[in-house]
Amino acid sequence: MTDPTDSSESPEVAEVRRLLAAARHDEPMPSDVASRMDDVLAGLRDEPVRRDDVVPISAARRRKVGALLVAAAVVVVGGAVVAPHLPGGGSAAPTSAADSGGSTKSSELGNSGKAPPAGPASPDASQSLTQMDRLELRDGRVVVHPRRFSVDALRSRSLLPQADAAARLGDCAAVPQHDDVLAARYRRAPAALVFRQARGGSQVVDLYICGSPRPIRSATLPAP
Amino acid sequence: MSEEPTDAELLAAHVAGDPEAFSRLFTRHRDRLWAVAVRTTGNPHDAADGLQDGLVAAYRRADSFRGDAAVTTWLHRVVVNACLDRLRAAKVRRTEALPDDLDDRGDRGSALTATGAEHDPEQAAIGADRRRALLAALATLPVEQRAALVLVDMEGHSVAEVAVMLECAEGTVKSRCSRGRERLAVLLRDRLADTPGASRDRPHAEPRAGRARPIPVPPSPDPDPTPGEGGAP
Repeated sequence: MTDPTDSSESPEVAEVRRLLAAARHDEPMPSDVASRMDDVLAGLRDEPVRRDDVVPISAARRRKVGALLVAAAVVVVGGAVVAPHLPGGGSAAPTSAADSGGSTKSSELGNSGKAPPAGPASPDASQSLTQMDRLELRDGRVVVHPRRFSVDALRSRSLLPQADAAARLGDCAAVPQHDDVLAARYRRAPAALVFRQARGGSQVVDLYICGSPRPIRSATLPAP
Repeated sequence: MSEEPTDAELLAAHVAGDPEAFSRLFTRHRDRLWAVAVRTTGNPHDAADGLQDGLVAAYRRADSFRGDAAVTTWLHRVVVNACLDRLRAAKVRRTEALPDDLDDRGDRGSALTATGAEHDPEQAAIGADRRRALLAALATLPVEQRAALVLVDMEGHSVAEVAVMLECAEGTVKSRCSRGRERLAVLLRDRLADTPGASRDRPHAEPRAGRARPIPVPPSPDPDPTPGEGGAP
């Protein structure tokens, strides 16, 4: 129940209260929003780690990106490049297109011709990787999976320091260009991940489908 | 006795590892959480984002629920806080003061009054217009006042419940509601004069023909200062 009406309340204020009560939103959640929430829940169920566990890894990754490039490994799967994040602080490392032999043009993402040298990564490291630890690149775009949007966005963020200008700006005209932008692919459509300026301990990332002025996905990540 | 698990049982099952429990809990309350998100943010786009943030937070922090309040109160708290965080962040990077879909929503909104508007196209149009104006005015309030009004006056929660949801003192909730209503009364002065029962106490109100007139949109006010309220901001 609401608090009782104040007897000293003016007629205008009483009318405002009545209007507010009448403006209650009684429509059910739209089906597209419900589907989106179902996707999010499905992604959460599949998520092997808690966000709290991710934060220090992410922070450490950013601080040690140079050193960790050496430890990064690249796995080519079905013509797509999968850039694994090594457990405990590994960093994504876009590889040279020459190594892929497929249609992947990961050099567009950055560091063309600067593929990380074969490092001392443990042979067991890649075997221990889970699907959540991988970033898939196609045609110079990070593939963002609907069911693990937040995780893919978080992983993709680590590519920003390494991506070249074209990949960072993306090619979506309607995407805000004053934030960090990374070319992406979502449900087979060209897209862009827009990393907003971090505020406090969090950073919002929006996903735009190229040609659309509105983001279709959004998540709050721990600040880098 | 019903075999349907309670909210608290579902939340406990989720914490214990039941993969479907949280989904069932969320589905049970999603329409009201959606309504609060829509009215707090002012548009369905930000509402969906805020609701998603809240959903993720609630899912991951379920073990922090101590049972001091109802599960639904806790869910509202998480979602409203996520929406408020979104609004505060958006305030920095956006300049527009009004939600951008008011025209669309005004057309499909239901009538405000219980004066048979649903049977009278003219009354329905007036009601929709007032609703649109109210929501536009609501969007200009500080986010804390807006959330308090949505939860108390729109959703019908008690001041005590809302104090838990907004993590502030009951006096703070009352103050925010009072200030918000007063501000809305000023912003909607002309339209309130059209409302049956309200104009008789307003001898200086100009007679109106019942058509929409854009409300003046003031600059977005500073956050609620809440001086002397004895509660958290």
